[in-house]
Amino acid sequence: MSADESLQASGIGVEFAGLKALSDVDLELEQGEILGLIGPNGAGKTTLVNVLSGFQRPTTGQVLIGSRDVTGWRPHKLALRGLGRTFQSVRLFARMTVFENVLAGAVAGGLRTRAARDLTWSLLERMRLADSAALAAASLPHGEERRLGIIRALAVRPKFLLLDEPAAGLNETETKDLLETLSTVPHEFELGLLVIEHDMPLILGLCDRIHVLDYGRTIAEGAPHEVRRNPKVIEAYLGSAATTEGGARADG
Amino acid sequence: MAAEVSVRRSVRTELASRVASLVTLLALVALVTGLASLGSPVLQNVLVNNLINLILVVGLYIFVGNTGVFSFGHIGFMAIGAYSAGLVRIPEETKVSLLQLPPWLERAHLTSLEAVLLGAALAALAAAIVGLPLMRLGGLTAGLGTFAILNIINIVAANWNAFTGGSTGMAGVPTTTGITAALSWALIAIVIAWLFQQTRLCLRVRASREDEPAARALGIKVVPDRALAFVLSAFVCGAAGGLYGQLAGSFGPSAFFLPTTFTVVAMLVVGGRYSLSGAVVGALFLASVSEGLRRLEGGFHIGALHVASRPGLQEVGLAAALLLTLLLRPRGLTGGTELSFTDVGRLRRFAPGRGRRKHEESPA
Repeated sequence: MSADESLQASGIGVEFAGLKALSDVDLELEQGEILGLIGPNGAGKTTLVNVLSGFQRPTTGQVLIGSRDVTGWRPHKLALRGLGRTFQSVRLFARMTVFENVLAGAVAGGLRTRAARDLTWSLLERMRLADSAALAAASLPHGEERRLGIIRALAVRPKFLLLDEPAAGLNETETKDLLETLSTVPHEFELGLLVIEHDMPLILGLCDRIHVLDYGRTIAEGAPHEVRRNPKVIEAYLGSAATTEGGARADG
Repeated sequence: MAAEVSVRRSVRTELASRVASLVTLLALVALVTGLASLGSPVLQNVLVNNLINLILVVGLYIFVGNTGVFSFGHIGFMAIGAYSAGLVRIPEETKVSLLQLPPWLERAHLTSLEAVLLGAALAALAAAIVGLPLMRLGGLTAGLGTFAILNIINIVAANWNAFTGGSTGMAGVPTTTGITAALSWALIAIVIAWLFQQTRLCLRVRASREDEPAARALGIKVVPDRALAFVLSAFVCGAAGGLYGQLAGSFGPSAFFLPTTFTVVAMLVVGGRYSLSGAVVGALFLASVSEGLRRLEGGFHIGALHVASRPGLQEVGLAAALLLTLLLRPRGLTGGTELSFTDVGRLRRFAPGRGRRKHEESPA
């Protein structure tokens, strides 16, 4: 396990009963970078994350971590090989405390109790959730719930972390706050971060590279400023947003 | 930062409060046993039976409470414990006349304590064999799967005449289980369950109970982890079986079937299956209710009014208690919290309708 392995998916296709959710998608995530995965609703973003994290077996294609073929591995095995993820619906351990949620991640990652507790404290402090450590996870406000989901995933010490809409349901301040936190995560934790997001301006500001899906196919990838100008992207995804933005400007 | 220091302290003192809750439960069981042991021989017999029930409830809790997967099969592990203990306790000449055993087993003889341990170990072994495939099931299918195990063990016990005595059952087991042995094992069972809750394995199965996909995504191997909890839980129920065999002296397969399963499940659910306190409180509470009802079964007077005997009152009472709990307080009397003498204020939570029901039975 060298430090500069990458997560590589090639030719990924997923079919549900004849319906193509993904076809021939290639994606690479390096450690230390932030990759944005965007696309309209139903474009296949979550399906791709499910494939990468072992929750969905691809119909075609291959997933590699470094040089190891991990296609079709079960989620827990992938997690222990360095692949972490969060969920759109967060999925906290509701009746356990905030502390136990993170501790479960650290323990699942193979740490002994003492080391797991130390890591849990340092993560909670670093991510500003230490004050709530003794509360039941179910009692957290929504913004902190999402943050806890990320901390819990970090506790496993992943090399690649896939965040499924981490900003969903957050207000503007919370979103800004989250972005600031996320921008430092890859270097601080030496991991590659993949972020699924709807909000274009948000993702363009955060990511080193962007990967755009539409109808299960890759329609563009590259640096944010390139993707922003890509006609296909504007048509498929930015169309309505660009119009709205233009309209607002015209009004002002 | 001051707030943070106090949070740290509260998480650190958590261990102290867990110890306090263990001490509370041990003291509670010892106290109730102490009081009941002063009663008539009939009451003493009821006491020992209910201490065995308590061990079963705590054993079942180790699996059901922590993994969130239901089991209707654990009384089968009790049966294995009882028959195994019987086989090494019945005097050799009785074995020769009642059963058809291989010579080494006819000669096999262990002490009462060793017999209980053997029963527990064989029950754990059986759980280990069926555990891995069974733990792939969840929810209702797990309930059915474990129920199938109960049936299999019951049918084997009823038909393996050479070893079990078939449907007539086993007889001639020296009745050595008294209050001391039953109480000691009840306390040991509580300590085992408590120690288990301090382990990383327990943290992992509880995480899987709360949200299985999230647990898998963290790297938790849900099936083998649950299987380990299943084995430990069967060990405790096997011990209860070993004690029961040496209490009853003679018993048949019907002792380890639906009525016992129902009683033990009702005790766990009524007490609250999400905490060890729930298991203990449920066992003590329903044992008391059930004993009260048993006394009324024979008929009673209220002033001039004579109520004729009502056979079955005890069973109906248990069922009604279970039903009322499911309807009014689905998380049980304790609502998932642990009792502790250090926190009498918590007793407020026992007021009806004050259980935290927000997350009841709703997978994320």
